Amino acid sequence: MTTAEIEKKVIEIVADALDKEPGKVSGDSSLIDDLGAESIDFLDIVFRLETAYDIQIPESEIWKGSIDVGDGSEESIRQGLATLKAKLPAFRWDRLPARMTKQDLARLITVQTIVDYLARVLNTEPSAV
Amino acid sequence: MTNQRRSAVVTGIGAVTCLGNDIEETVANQAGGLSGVSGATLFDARGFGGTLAAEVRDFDARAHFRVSKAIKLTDRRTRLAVAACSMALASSGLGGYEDLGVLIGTSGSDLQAPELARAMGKHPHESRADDVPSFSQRILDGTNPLWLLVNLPNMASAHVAIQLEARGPNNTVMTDWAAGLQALGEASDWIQCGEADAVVAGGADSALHPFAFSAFEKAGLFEQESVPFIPGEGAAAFLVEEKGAARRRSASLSFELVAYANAGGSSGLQQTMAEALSAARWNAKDVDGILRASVPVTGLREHEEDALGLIFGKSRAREPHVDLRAQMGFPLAACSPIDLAMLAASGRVEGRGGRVLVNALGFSGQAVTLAIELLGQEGCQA
Repeated sequence: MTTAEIEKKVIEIVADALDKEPGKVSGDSSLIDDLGAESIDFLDIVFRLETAYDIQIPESEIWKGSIDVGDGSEESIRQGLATLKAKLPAFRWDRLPARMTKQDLARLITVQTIVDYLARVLNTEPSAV
Repeated sequence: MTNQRRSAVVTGIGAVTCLGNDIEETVANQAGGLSGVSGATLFDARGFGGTLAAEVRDFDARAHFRVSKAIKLTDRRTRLAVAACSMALASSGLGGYEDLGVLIGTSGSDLQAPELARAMGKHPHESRADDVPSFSQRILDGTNPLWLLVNLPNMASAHVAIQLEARGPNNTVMTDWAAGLQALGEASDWIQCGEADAVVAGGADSALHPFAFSAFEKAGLFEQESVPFIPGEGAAAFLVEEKGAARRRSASLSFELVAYANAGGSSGLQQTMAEALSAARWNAKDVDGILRASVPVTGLREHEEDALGLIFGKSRAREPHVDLRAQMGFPLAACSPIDLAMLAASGRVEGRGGRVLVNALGFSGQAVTLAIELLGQEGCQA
């Protein structure tokens, strides 16, 4: 399975779960800020991904696609964000508070976050960012 | 506590039925002799003793959902409820009323049978049917976490409130097939006691799923000889308002909810009709029309005819009357509300004026009677 196939499937699932046109969903779409996802939508999307790929996705694991926040401390978050900003310069960072907390992290989840996670779990090469 | 008697009137009607996706189309197609009954298509009914169904066709729920993402959290009866309530509110001209109350009667959800079957079917050879821990684990692993949110009994009322932005009192009535008419009766109580000034109320149901057909089969309903049992679906809703407020905004008044009675147990419709007549201060001879429950179940029909005979005399009880079950099937808790919506929309009562008794009857014996007065007819008080 290629990363492109995973991305296509993830976009299909995310678009259907959030009632969006697939053409309006891209890799850097933030699930919350761009696509309007709410907490129950994350439950739905995770279930659909688990069903599609016959895997189990622990809730904490979905982060590890694109950002490592270590122990979740303010310094760890700052360092993780600095790494992510370098990887995703086109992301709408202006929408996020200057000092982010753990509660803000969910807004960082993009379609690409999910694709990268699945690519790693399914032993496929992740996309270069 | 009421200081002055408030009256409840209906100013808007909405419906989705097997004969049309709104009340106007439904009335026209019924009068035109079309049939809403055909072979079931919503699921494969071939394993059951009955395969006919009265299905709502070409229904686009999205047209009625302000927040369309919520559709994934709804079952069919909820979508029908939202559509009917949305149309009732629109037809009333009330619009944008924040304190709107919601009261929906329904007999329950379809439990998303295909999803449950998929969850159970992954391991068909493991464990026995009574292995509860194994069953539970398969359900937990195999169903979407949102499954419960779709199937909770109050979800129809909840979603109506969300979509219509109705922030007034909210409740769900689940007295099986009598629930829809009972919701309308309860709404009139809310208006009269001052709980709300406007309520959207009615019934929504869909019997077209394996769990319902299994129950019908177990009860022998597909094998009745006296009357065919054709499961159906649909929804009818009414915008119920305080009469004075409705008049002040020059609303068009369809009918007044004069009295309401409900009862469980064996005394049924005889009791509720007697109580409704008493509360309305009508004599039996004052009633211009009777909209029967017409439940297509042997025993329940006879119960209604016996009750009518005791209240109105056997001669009147045996008068020919319109029975829509062969044409429109039986949409459970939505049945009496749909029949009432059609009556009110067509404005016809055979014979005299507009005082009508409306009945609903549940499989369990729950009985409901409304005394209504059709308004705008010659000789009626408006």
